[in-house]
This record gives sequence, C-alpha cells and structure tokens, in this order.
Amino acid sequence: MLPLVSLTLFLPLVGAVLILCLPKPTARTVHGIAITSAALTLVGALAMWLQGVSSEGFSQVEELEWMPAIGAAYRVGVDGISLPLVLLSAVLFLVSLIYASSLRDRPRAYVALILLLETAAIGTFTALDGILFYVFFEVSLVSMYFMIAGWGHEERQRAALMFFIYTLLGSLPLLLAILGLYLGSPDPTFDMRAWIANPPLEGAAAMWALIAMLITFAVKIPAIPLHTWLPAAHVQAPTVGSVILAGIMLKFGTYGLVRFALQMTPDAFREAGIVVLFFGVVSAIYGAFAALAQTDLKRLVAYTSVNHMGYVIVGVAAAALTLDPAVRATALDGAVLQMFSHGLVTGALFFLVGMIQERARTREMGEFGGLLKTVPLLGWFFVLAAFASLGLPGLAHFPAEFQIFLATLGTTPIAVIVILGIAIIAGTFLKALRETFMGEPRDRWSEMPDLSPREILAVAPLLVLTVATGVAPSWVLDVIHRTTSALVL
Amino acid sequence: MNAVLLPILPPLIAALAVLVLRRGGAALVLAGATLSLAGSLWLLTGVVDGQAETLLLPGLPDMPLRLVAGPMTALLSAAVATVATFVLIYAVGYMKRETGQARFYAMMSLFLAAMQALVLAGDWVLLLAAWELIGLCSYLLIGFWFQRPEAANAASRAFLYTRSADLGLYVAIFILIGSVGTSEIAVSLETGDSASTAAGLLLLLAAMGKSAQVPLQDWLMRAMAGPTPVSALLHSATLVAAGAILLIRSAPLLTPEALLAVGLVGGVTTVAAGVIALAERDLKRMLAASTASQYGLMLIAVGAGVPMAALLHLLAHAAIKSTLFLAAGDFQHAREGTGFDQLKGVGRARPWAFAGFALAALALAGIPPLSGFFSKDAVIAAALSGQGAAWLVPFALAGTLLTGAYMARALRLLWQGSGETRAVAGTGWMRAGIWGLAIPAAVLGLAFGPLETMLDLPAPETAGVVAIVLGLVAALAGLALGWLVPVQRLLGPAHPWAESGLVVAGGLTAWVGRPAMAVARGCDRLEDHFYAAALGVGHAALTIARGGQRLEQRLYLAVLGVGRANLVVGRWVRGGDERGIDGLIFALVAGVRALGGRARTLQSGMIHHSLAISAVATAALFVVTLFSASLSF
Amino acid sequence: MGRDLALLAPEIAVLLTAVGALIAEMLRRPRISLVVAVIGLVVATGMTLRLVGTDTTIFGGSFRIDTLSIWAKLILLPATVLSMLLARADVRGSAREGTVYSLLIFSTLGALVLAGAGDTMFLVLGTLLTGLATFALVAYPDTDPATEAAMKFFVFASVTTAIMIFGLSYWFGASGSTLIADLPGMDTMPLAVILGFVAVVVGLGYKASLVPFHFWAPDAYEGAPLSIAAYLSVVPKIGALFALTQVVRYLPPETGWTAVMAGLAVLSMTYGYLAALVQDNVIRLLAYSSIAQSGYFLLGILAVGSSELALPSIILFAAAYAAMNLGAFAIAATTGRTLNDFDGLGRTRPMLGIAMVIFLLSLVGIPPLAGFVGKFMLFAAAIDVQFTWLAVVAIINSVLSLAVYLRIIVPMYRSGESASVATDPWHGVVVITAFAATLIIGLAAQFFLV
Repeated sequence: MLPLVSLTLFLPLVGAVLILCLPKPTARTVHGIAITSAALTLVGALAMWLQGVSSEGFSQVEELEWMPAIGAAYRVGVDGISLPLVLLSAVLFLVSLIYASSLRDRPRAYVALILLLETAAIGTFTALDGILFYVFFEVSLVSMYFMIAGWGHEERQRAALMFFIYTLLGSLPLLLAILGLYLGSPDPTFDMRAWIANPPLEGAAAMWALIAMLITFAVKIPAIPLHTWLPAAHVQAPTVGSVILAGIMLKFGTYGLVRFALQMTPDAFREAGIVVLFFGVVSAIYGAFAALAQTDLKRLVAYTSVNHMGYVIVGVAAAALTLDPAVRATALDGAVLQMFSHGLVTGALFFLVGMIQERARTREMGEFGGLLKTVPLLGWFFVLAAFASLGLPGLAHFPAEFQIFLATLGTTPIAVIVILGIAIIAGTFLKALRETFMGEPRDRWSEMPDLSPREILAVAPLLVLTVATGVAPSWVLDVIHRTTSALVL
Repeated sequence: MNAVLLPILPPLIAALAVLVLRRGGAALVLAGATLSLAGSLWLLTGVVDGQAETLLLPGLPDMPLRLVAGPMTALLSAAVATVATFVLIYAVGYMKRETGQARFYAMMSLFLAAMQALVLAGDWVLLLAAWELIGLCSYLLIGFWFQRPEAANAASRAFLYTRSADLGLYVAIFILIGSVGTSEIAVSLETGDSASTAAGLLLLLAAMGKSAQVPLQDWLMRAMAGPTPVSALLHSATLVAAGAILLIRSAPLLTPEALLAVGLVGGVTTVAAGVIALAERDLKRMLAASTASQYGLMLIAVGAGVPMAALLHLLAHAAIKSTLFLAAGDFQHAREGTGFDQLKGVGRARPWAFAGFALAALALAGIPPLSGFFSKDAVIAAALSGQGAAWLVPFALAGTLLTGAYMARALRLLWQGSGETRAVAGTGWMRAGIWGLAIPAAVLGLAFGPLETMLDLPAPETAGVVAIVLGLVAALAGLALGWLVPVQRLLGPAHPWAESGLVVAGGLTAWVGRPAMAVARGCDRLEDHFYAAALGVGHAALTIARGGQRLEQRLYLAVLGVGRANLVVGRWVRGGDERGIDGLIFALVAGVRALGGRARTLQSGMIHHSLAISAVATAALFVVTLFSASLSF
Repeated sequence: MGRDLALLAPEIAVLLTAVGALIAEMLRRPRISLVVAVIGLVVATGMTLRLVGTDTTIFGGSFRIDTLSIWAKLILLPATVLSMLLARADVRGSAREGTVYSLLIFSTLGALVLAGAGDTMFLVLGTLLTGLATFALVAYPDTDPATEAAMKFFVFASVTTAIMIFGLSYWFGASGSTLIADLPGMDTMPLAVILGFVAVVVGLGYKASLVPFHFWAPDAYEGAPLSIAAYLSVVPKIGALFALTQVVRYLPPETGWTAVMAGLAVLSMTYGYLAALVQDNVIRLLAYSSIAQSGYFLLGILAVGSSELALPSIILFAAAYAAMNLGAFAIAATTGRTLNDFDGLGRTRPMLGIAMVIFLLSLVGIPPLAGFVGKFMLFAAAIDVQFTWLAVVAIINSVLSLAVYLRIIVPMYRSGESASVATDPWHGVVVITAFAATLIIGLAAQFFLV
C-alpha cells in the first residue's frame, strides 16, 4: 500500500529540492521539473480522491513516530473537509506553475518557492498533529513573503512586510492555543484526532484558546477588522502569488476555523458563536461595499474575497450555533464548498486580472473599455468568472452560498441580512464589466493580444471546474457531506 | 430518457453546439427550439389527465433537483416554446446583417432552456437556479451590442434590479424549506398554509423585480437597447413572465395579507406603467411600459385569489406582446430607429407587419373576439370576485382603459404620415415570425375554456355580464381617447412627469444606488484608516526603540561628562601636587587621570556607568527577591 | 576515583587538547595546532556520546555527570570546533595563532565546568576559567577597539565575579557546605540564601549577558574579531545558562525566585530586541539579539524542577541557538559589518542568501527550523508552570524580533552589489554545518527530549 498522502504531500518538495540541486539548469528544465512534480501531485490528489473518505473520523491516515516523548508525531490523513481542499491545492498549484512557465527572472528560486508553498498548503490541510499543522501553516507564510518580496510589483517590500508581521502576529496566538490544548490533554499529546474526539479544554481555558484561535484565523481569513494586509499584499503580489494567496492561503483560516475552533473547542464556540456570526456578517457586507468602491481591478477582486470568506465564517458560526445536526451539516457543507469554489473562481479572476495587467501595465478600470471586443477570449472568461463570483446558479459559488444562507436562516434568522452582500457584489462586478469590458474599445489597447495557449491552459481548467461544480455540485458535496453529516460536536 | 427533459435538453445542446462550432447558429437553434416545442407538446398530451411526469436529478445533499411536468407546467412550457420558436424564426431575418450571430443564437437558445427549466422546476433550488440563469441570459442579450454604452448600462441595470429583488426569492425559499423541511415545491404548496406572510411578501418582491412592477419598472424600458427579438422573448415568455409565473404557481401559499399586497402592487403598476406608456415617445419603450402594465393586471388577478385568470392573461399576453415587438422590429429595420417621430406612417409601407401589429394591439386592448378580450374579462371578473374588490376593480378598469389609449395612440402614430421607407432584408423570415404569433394572439381565447377544465383551477364566473360590459366599455373608451385626443391634452400637466417615467425624487438611483455608493466610498476611506492604524503599530514599535537608543546616548554623554570632570579633578590635583602634596595622593591622581584620558580618547567611560547600573540592579534584584520570597511565606 | 576520572574523561580530553594545541604552537606549527585541537575536541565529543544516559555525580557530588552536562559537551564542543574554523581566517599567519585555539579550548573547558557544576566552587572556577581566556581572546587583535572592549569586559567581569564570590560565601555560611545540593530551603535561612542567589544571578547573568548585566556584550562583540564574537555569543553563554539551571534545580518554586527569572526574561527579551531594532551595525544587532535570546532560556530555567519539559527545552534551544547563531555570525564574517553590506546578497550569492535567511528565520522561531522547536518547547514549559503571561510576552517579542531580522533580510533582496569579502573555504564548512544543524535539529528533536 503506497503512502498516498505523504507522497502527494512531499512530491512538490522533492521537485523543489531537485531544482535547487541541479547545477545551472536552464529555465526550460526548471519549469519542466516543476510542472511535472505538480502534475504528479495532482495525480496523487486524484488517487486520494478516488480512495475517498469514510464517514467517521479521518481516512487514509499515515503515522510515523517523531517526538514520542512529548506526544508529537508525523500524522497525516484526510476527511471530507480537507480532501476537497487538497484537490483544490493540487489543481491551483499546477495551473499556477503552468502560468509561471514564461518567467525568466530567476525562475529557479521562484518555482522552488511555489513548490515549497504547495507542500506547505497540502501539509496544512492533511496534518493531524498540532505541531505539524503549525509547521506547515508557518512555512507557507514565509514562502509567500519571499515570493512577494522577490517578484512583486511596486512598493512590494512594505506590503510584504505588513503581510508578514500581520500574519505572524496572527499565527502566534494559535501556537498558544495549541500549547493549551496539548497541556490540557489528560495524556499530553499533539494528536489532533484525540483533541477532536475529546476536546481537552473546558470553561475559561477553552474560551481563551478559542479567542486565540479566532484571532489567528481571523487574520488569515481575513475578517474585519484584521483584513488590512490583504488588499495591500494582493496589489503588490505577482499574479501567481495572488492566485495562491487567495485561492489557497485564505482557506487556512477557514479550515482552521472548522478544524480547530469548531471541532476542538465546540462548547466555547457555541457560546461565542453569535459574536463570530456577527463578525462574519460584517465582513461579508463590509467587504462587498469596499469592493464596490474600488477602481483597481485587483483590489476589487481582493475585497470580494473578504466578502466570500465572510460567508464561510457565517456558515461555520451557524454550524456552531445550531443544535440540529441536519442544519449543521448543511451549514458546513456550504462553508466547505464555498472554500473550494472560492479557490477556483478567485484563482481564475486573479489570473485574468494579472493577464490584463501584464498587457496594459495598469489595473485601473477607467483606463479600459470595450475589452470584450479587443480580447474576446480573455473578456468572456472574465465574464464567466465574474458571474461565478457573484454567485450565479450553475456556477461554483451558488450551491455553497445557498446552503450557507439556508442554514443561517434556520439558525439565526436575522443574520440572513448577510445575503445583501450578494446584491452588492453583483453591482460591483457589473460595474467592473461595464467599465472594463463593455463600451467603445479604445485605440490605446487595439494591439492587445488575446490569450496565449499557456494562459488558456492556466485559466480554462479552473473555469471548467467552476462550471462542473456549479452544475453538479454533488461530485464534491458527496465527499464533504459524508463527514459533515456524521460530525458530532 | 425521461420526457421531462425533452423541452430543456434540445435548446441547451443547441446552445453549446453553437458555442463550440461558431457557425450554423440559426439552423441549430431553430432545430433546438422546434424540438423543445415538440417535446413540450408531447408532455402536454401526456399529462392532460392530471398525471405528472417527474424526474429526479442529483443536487444538494437531501435536496435533489426535481423536474415535474403537470398540466400547468407543461402548458406554460408549450407556450414558452411556441413564442421562442417564432421569435427565432423572425430573428433569422432580423439578425441578417449583424456580427456575433453565434453568440446571439447560443444565448437565445440557452435562454429558452433556462426558461423551460424554470417552468418545469419541481423544487425550489432548481427554480431559483433557472430564475437566476434567465437573468444572466437577459443580461448578455440586452448587452448584445456591448460597445454601445447605453446597451452596457441597460444590461447592467436589468441584471442588478432583478438580482436585488431575487434576494426576496432566496429568503422566501429558505423560509419555505425551513418550515416544510423539503425543497419540493408540491409539498410546500400542500402544506403551504403554514407559510408566513413574510415568505409571501418576499416572493412578491422577487416577482416585482422580474416583472418590472413599480417601483422596479425602470430597467425594463432601458432594456430596449437590446435587439428586438430579445425584447419580444423577454417580455412575453421568459424573463418578465417569470415573475408572474412564480406568483401564479405559489398562489396557494399566499396569506390574505400577502394577496392584498400582490393586488395593490399590481394595481398601482398597471396604472402607473399605463400612464408612462401613454406618454412614451419611442415605440419599443412604449411596449415595454405596456408590458409592466399588463403584468400589473395579472398581479391583480393573483391578488384577487384567482391565479387562473392571471395565467390566461399571461398566455394571451405572451402571444400578443411578442407579435407587437416583432412588428416593431420590422418597423425599426425599415426606419433605423424606434422613435415615434421616425416611425410616422411606417404602417403604410409595411402593411403585413402593421396588420399583425394592429391585430395584436386590438387584442391587447380587449376587443372581442380576440384573445385579450377573454383574458382581460377574466381579470376583471377576478377583481370583482375577490377580497379588496373596491381597490382592485378601479385599478383593473383604469389599466384596461389606459391599454386602449396607448395602443390606439400608437396605431395612429404609425399610420399617419408618409409611407416612404427603405428596403429591408430578411422580410420573409420576419413576416413568418410575426404571423406565426399574431394568429394565436387572435384566436387563443377560444382555447381558454378547455384549458380551464384541463388545469382544473378555480376560475371566476367569466360569463358575468358586469365584467364583460365594464371591460368592453373601458377598452373602447380607451381606444377612442387614444386615437382622438393628443396625449399632451390627455395627461395635462402630468405629461412631462409621465414622459420621464414617473420618477419620484430621482427614482431608485437616488434612493438606493447613490446611498450604496456613498457607503462603499465610506468603507473605502475606512480602509485607509485601517491601513494607517496597522502601519502605526509598526511605527510605534520603532519609536519606542529609538527612544531607548536616545536614552542610551544621553547616558553616554553623561558618562563622557564624568570623564571630563575626572580630568578637571586630575588637573586640580596635579596643581596640588606641584604645591607639594604627598606621594600616595600622587599615585591616586595618576590613576584617575589615566582613566579620564581613556574616557576622552577611547570614550570608554561608559563602563563606570554601566557597572553602576548593574550594581543598582543587583540591589534591586535583592530587594525583589526578598520581597517575592517574603510574599510567598 | 577511577570511576570518577572515567566519567570525567571528556573534560580531561579537552584539557589535554588545549595543552596539545599549546605545545604545537610552541613548535611553531600553527597548522598542527589546529589539527590537534579539532581532533581532540572531536574525540572528546565521541567520548561523551558513550556517557549519554548517565546521571550521577562525581567528586563527592561536586561535579555532575547528568543530562545537562553531557549535552553541554555535545553542543559546546562542536560549537568550539566551528568557532576555531571561523577563527582561522582571522588569525591565520599572525603570531601565536595556536594560542588562540588553545585559549578557545580553555574557555570551553570553563563553560563545561560551569554546566556540570554541583558545587559553588565549580561555579567560580568555571567563571574564572572562561573569563580569563576570553579577555585575552577579545584583546587579541591589539587594536584600540579590541583593547577597549577587553578592558570593559575585564572590569565588568571582575566586579560581577567578585559579587558572586561574595554572595556564595553566604551560602557556605548558611549551609556549611559548598555543594549546591546541600542548599537549605528558604524557609530556614531566607536572607542568606537570597543574598547568595542574587549574587549567583549577577555572576552568571553577566556571562550569559542578561539585561541588566549585558553592557559589555555589544562592545566586546564589536571590538573582538568576528569569530571570537561568534564564540562569545554561544559557548560561555550556554555554559553560564546551564550553570544557572544546575543552581535553581534545588530551589523550591514557591520561594518566588521564578518571578525574578521571569522579570529578567522580560527585560532581556524586550530590551535586547528593541535595542537591536535601531542598530546599523550587524554585529551590534546580533549582539543585542543574542541578549534577547538569553532571555528565552529563562523561560525554561524558571520551569526547572516543576515541569518535565524544562530540561529538554533548555537543551534543545541551546543546540538550536548554537547552530543558528554561529551560522549567522559566519555569514556576517564573509559579508560585512554594516547593514549596507548586505545589499543584494540574496541576488549575487543566492545560496549564501538562503542560508542567512534560514538562520535569521530560525532565530525568529519560524517552523520547522531549529529555533522554532526550541522556542516552542520553552513556551510549553513556561505555560506548564502557569507562566502563560510570560509566554505571551515572549511571543510578542518574537514578533518584534521579526522586525529586527527583517532589517537584514530586506536589503538582501534589494537590487545592489553586496561587498563580497573573499571567503575562506572553512567558512563555507561552518555555514553548511550550521545550516544542516538548523534544519535537522527541528526534525530530530526527539533526540534531545531525554
């Protein structure tokens, strides 16, 4: 029996090491190795997908002794909450590397960083050990910092610095919470399965741990008012950085919210649920309004992420608040699917904005007009992605948001006002489409080339999956639902 | 394959095929629409006896997607397919000279498929999905000429208005699923009496958006920026009809309060939109306003508790309004515009189109034996029979009167004037489309009787003489007024206001749009503050660090001062030595001087001070330890 | 006695190595001196490995062969070897090259004595042994700054050591024994014990450069050759901190000494990083950073005796600290002393850049690097003995430290020409060894958790 999870997890790292160890490789070789290892990783993820998950606990668990003296071990495995995110990571990193394959500025370090990030991302989603989780969680951060610092746009060091400090500030409380869970366990262990099966903390200790986790994850998600790093980081990040940042790394926060906050301190979360719900609602609506005011396409997409992640917070809070297992399953189905969908859709949007920026050297909507005529393929791809992002049925966000809102109404009816976000986001994208893609084409951009095959290869898979998830969400939801329907809190 | 898929799949496949092949759009899509029509007729024959065809598809967990063909849904499906087929036939001619045909046909076909899905949806999720998809299709079709700013604006506005109102449908569905425990529409309807007034009002909100009811009517007039076949389809059988269809289907759920609200919204709309139509200076915009007005009549019927009447008017209106639009498109090609001043006398030059237009106009006004007469009669009878008749009847009659007036005015404007015009390509196709729909518009009324029996829905006593008389009088009076009296005189001082679309205090743009943008900008400004605050924390840390550094520098200077003092003392002592002080002191002096010199040259006086600090710290440490030790005992 | 000597074999080997290096120096064979020194220390390390797992005392309880002293050898001897390799570039060809190696070894011997001290006299002996050797090492270049630094260092050491000896006399007076294990509980003789404790903290605190006994460190590091600064920041410091651990082992926590440790920890961490934040000289920056890192050790030390995590955490962090700090100094030695010298290092010499980034991130405590595991365990130990607030302060300081170390990292990835100093091949060996250790210690942490 192959250790499928570990193979999938470390394949990118192997690729990265290989690239760093080769003496003076050509850019072609570097990209070739990178794409190959990412493709193999995707194969691994697909194999994991075929293996599937069982309804109780974690599946495909692999364990290796690490520090038995303190109860830490190398433990990985998946359930219905993490498996879709693993698949998402494998897909997004592969297309990111395909997109990055034209890079000639120090490609070695760049793709090595991306591959390192991939291992960190898959590791974060599959880790079943507190320390291991934290290790991957932090490694991702560092790699992202260097990607932004090394290959970002103007003023990038400041943005990256802010991103780094902000997020580090937001990850150390988690460390405290992990230590608390560890020291609170009757038989001290870092095994997350044990923490989930028997939440080790109770009372005030659990509440403090929860608060620490919430701070960490709120920064990462990001939730208002700890979201400031996001637009700054996105504006400065290179395209691939943005795609991975929004597509994968924001999910660390929401994933942590489910895996840690909800599953390990359920009672405290139930008590604090209404506060979390409030912040979720505020995030969603505030993010939507902030997006509406943007004139910079990339910032606009960044703020829609705040909105979409706000829905996830709402979903998780609803799951914590409700006492009805069916409603909880619906809420979590929606929240997890929303993470998955957001990765696909926002990934595609950031790619497309990046493509526009590379062609025009600007992202200001006011500078454009009529791009549907000038670059029809890019334009129509953007239209599709934009409608997916505003939650149109038949596209990936709809089933997720539908379930989240449904569960929210079933739990805290007043919170359903969060649905206003849908209308605001619709207005945001319609405005962007009108100003950028519709109207009279400008002469300035008449020479703009349409998508190259490389670019199509990067975006099209995401859009295909977006449609597939929208039309037949059951291919993902079946996996998610198997776990969420059996979840005991 | 289940027969329920027959009306949906062919147009869907046709749309995808056109998108992939990029050619042969018209043929493929026409084939798809025809098959869809055939499929829905097949369904209809299968379900006349009340047997429903059902199909389950995988959807959300515990909420499978469900297609149900019952008598009513199959009938609606057939109506949709009929209109779509003829509109598409017409479009072959209309779109001859356009580029981007593949996009046009694919979207039209998708539109049809989505509408069929909406009509046949047996569960709320699928209904909602289809509901939103027709919004998308209309966005893309209204914005077909996206290079024109007005088309881009109109498309955005249409989608935004309807989508915002759709939130009502979302929440209503959540309430229904929450209270019934399943997403199946049939179950909701059966146990529907438990549904709240809130759900009903939310459904109404959604319908108001789609069916352009006051105050959400504005987008519909602007949507005329799209190609005319799109308008025809939009107004008669798809987007706008969806709102009324929703209310007709969910009528059993509505509480009396909700029904009253539905009736009032319909009543206000039918009058307001009628007035707007009367004052319009553009044929297509006039037709759009008329659409809103007619849907207002349908809402009156639903509000009166007789959805059957609304359904009949919906069917009649579908045929009539598509005819009117198609004819208007014909005129548009002939004169390169749709303003009434451009269209003067065009009727004489395009007699076939004008004949169709006139037939449909009279039908809409409610002249027997055309279909509109029967359906309008049903609506008025419904208003008379239901609760709130005192409100609803005047509204219904006023709506009827206004219908006659604006249709007569249009006929007059189109007929009077010179008949000169230019040649139009594709006239054959267009003529076929127009007459394919004009004939049902004329004769559909004859089928109403059998329909009522088939649907087995409670219908009002249509034979009521009162209703017939009232309706006829209103219609004839309207026609006469419209033909004879110029609109400025008819509306008097209200005319400019009506021309501007009866906008109240800037309309929705001022009431919703601008505040929303203001909030958005406020959030954006807040963002800057957030960013500044976050950076401020970093700066604060740096400032503290610099403060610490300055303190160290001060200490350093102080220590330097001590060194200088040493030197002074040294010199003084040396002076003393020269005056003969003993050798012990000399040795001391030498040491001090050396130290002072060091402080000056190597600037190492620091060490005294730091030692002093450490000594003080030692003492402090001692005290603290003593203290904490004593505390613990 | 034979058993005692057998258990003391590594120390004896170290002593002989020092002597051997001196002899080689006398023969005017500095090369051989280095070879002898390296081989001797490697052999001593090997001998120590044989002892792993032993927990006993020798010489009537006055010297301990326990986890702490064994790990002190396993960490400090390799660290000394690396320091010597670094020093080679600084002193090669100069007079008395071999003396430097031998002084380094003597000083290390002093640190080992400290780490194993079971008797107050060993504390004094260790302090003096390390001290005397390092004064000479700092003064070695015979330049004005070096002389000044050595003088400060010396004066400071004299005073603090005197205070320590003075205080220890009270302990002797109170207990009638110089054995630390015989220390009476505070409930019987509070004042004398407190005086002794404070004195020990002063004496060892100076060596470990804890705030407020740290003043000598930045000047000494700056004045001394870089290799010596690297050595100073690692070996004597770890020796002193291990000695402190040995001392507090028998102090019952309820006497309140833990609060004092916590206070010193906060002072050291915060002041160290704040001061580092405004330095433009990389050596001074690293000096202040090492002051702050000493503060982290105290988190583990205050948990000694109450938490099982304490000893492993101290040892683990010591190993991590030795690796990452030596690595950082080694790269500073090849690059330059000011921040500007680091401009563009990451672009012109990518491998060196990656290594420096890894060392600095490890100092911050980013997983999965050595520094993370060490700090993680230290935090766990502190929380385990109810010092959660201290762990929080330490964590906040870690964020502050990020800003400190980013001041080096950021210019490395600016475009610019780093003033690349010609590198000694042995520097490369040091960097690679430290790099490997920084990566591996995190993964092999189990090895330290004895």
